[in-house]
Amino acid sequence: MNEIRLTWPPALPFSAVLSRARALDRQAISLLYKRFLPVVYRYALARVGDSHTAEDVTSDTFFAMLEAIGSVQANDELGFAAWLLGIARNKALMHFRRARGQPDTISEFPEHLEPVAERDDPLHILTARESWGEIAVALNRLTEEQRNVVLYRCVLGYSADEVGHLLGKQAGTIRALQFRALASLAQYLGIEERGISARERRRGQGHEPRR
Amino acid sequence: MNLEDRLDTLLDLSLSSRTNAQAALMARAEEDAEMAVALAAADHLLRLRSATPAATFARTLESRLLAHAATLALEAEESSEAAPFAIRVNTSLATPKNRLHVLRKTKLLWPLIAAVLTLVVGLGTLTVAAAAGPGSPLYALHRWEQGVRAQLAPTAADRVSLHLENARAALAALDSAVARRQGDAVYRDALATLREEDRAAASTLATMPPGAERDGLAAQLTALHAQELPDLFAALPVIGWQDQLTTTQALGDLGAAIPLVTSVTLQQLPSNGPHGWQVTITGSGFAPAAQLVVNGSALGQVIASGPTQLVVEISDTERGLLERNAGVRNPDGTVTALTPLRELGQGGVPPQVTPGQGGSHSGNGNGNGGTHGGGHEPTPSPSTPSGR
Repeated sequence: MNEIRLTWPPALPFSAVLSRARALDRQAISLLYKRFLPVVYRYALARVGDSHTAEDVTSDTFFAMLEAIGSVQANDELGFAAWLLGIARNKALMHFRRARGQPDTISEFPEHLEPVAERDDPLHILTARESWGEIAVALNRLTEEQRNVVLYRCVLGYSADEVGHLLGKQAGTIRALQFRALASLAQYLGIEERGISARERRRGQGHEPRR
Repeated sequence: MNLEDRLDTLLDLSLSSRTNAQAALMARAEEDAEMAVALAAADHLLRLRSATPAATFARTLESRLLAHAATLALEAEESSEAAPFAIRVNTSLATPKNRLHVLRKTKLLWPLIAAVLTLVVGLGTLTVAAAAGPGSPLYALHRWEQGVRAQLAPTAADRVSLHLENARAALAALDSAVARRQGDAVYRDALATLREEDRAAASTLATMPPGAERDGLAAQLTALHAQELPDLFAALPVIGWQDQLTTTQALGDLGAAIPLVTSVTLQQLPSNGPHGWQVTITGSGFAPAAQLVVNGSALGQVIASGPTQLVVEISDTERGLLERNAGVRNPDGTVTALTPLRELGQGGVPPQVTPGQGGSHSGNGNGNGGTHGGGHEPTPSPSTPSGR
């Protein structure tokens, strides 16, 4: 995965579409919206955990995009994605601040938004995939850097090289961050038991723990 | 290959194909439990890739976003048009002092001042009119200017281009009016202009000889129509009844399926239950779940519906409401008015037609909810609708 994937039709250069969108051309804005709607929505859903709030965050993100598109510096798709996801991140943080009424740092998912059903409840099993609350809670316990890496990589589908480009880091650094982030995430999701024996075996052989 | 790189490779497999990823995951899980744990966590995240926003949300957000873009574009246009006006007025008024001295001596000063003032006021009005948007008192002058420019265009192709340009501006103004919930005058002016310019572009295009130039302009007109359709549909829920009627007609001009009423029959039901009247609406283009509406609110109970007929039972009170802004609304928001009405008494007997009222109008409402005998009993129309 050393090459940067082209997700935009080659006949329609992204820079040309972005240039027209800066002049508030509706067709260009519609193209950008259709391309990035799933990206922004999935990012928002992963952060806030329920579809209705994710829709609010998505909506706020695109309106903010429209207001500021004249000043965006990016000229390629990845640069634009980084800019847009930065807006989405801020909108998600604003949501957390509003939900918790705390203006300071947000490190955990708001308690009142966690799923309330018991684990054995059939309703919980049925709706778990739609609420995504558990994953959002676990994600919000990661560091900002770790969270961005696993979200961009696993949820948005960018390669390690592309995530490196998005976050201004080397691909090797991204892979290392990714490994640590997923190990932590497994712990927060309660699926680390299978890995304990392996880590202890490593420690016995003189390996450093990875977290 | 170290652990991080192996994990990344397996994630690539997962992202490209879930089936391959599961097999790879199982194979690797036996080799290294720590990686299996990380991949299991990744698998939770990968499920989020199947999450998609609801189609209704996606459509609504796009409409709102594009309307907002139109508003921003219009505001940018207005601010850029305001600047040249100020410069023009200032330059018109600038006169060197030595020339004024000469003019005083020749006694031509006052006639010249009057002429200059007239010119400045005239130019100023025209300049302001040039920037006047729909809903402005000067918009009629703006439209006149646009008409003159189109007439003075040297070729038919230039005229079509001008009409297309005017239609695009009108559509942007219309979108802006919808975004700002400015129904009424702004929306109405913009829609009227849009329809006029569309028609003018099409008729001028028809006079052009076949060729690449005509094909190009025809493609532009088709693209504009394609843009107009979703915008007009999006406008329907936020505008008033009269504007809904005009917008539906505009959608019909663009080839959209719209409802049309050809006749309406009101029949008094024999029993004096909650539904005292049966309204049979005949026409075309009635979609499933079409409703009888008054001022945009659903009325009565639909007892039968089809593409060409809608049968609704209404109460005596609701009967009186039919005199005002009544119509049929399809689920997509398109509407049509209920005219003409024909009223029948019990047993389908037509009423006596009052001289001067004509046979097709139902001036005989029964808003007081009184009981009726065996035959039709013409009653005066209520001055104000009751109920709802």
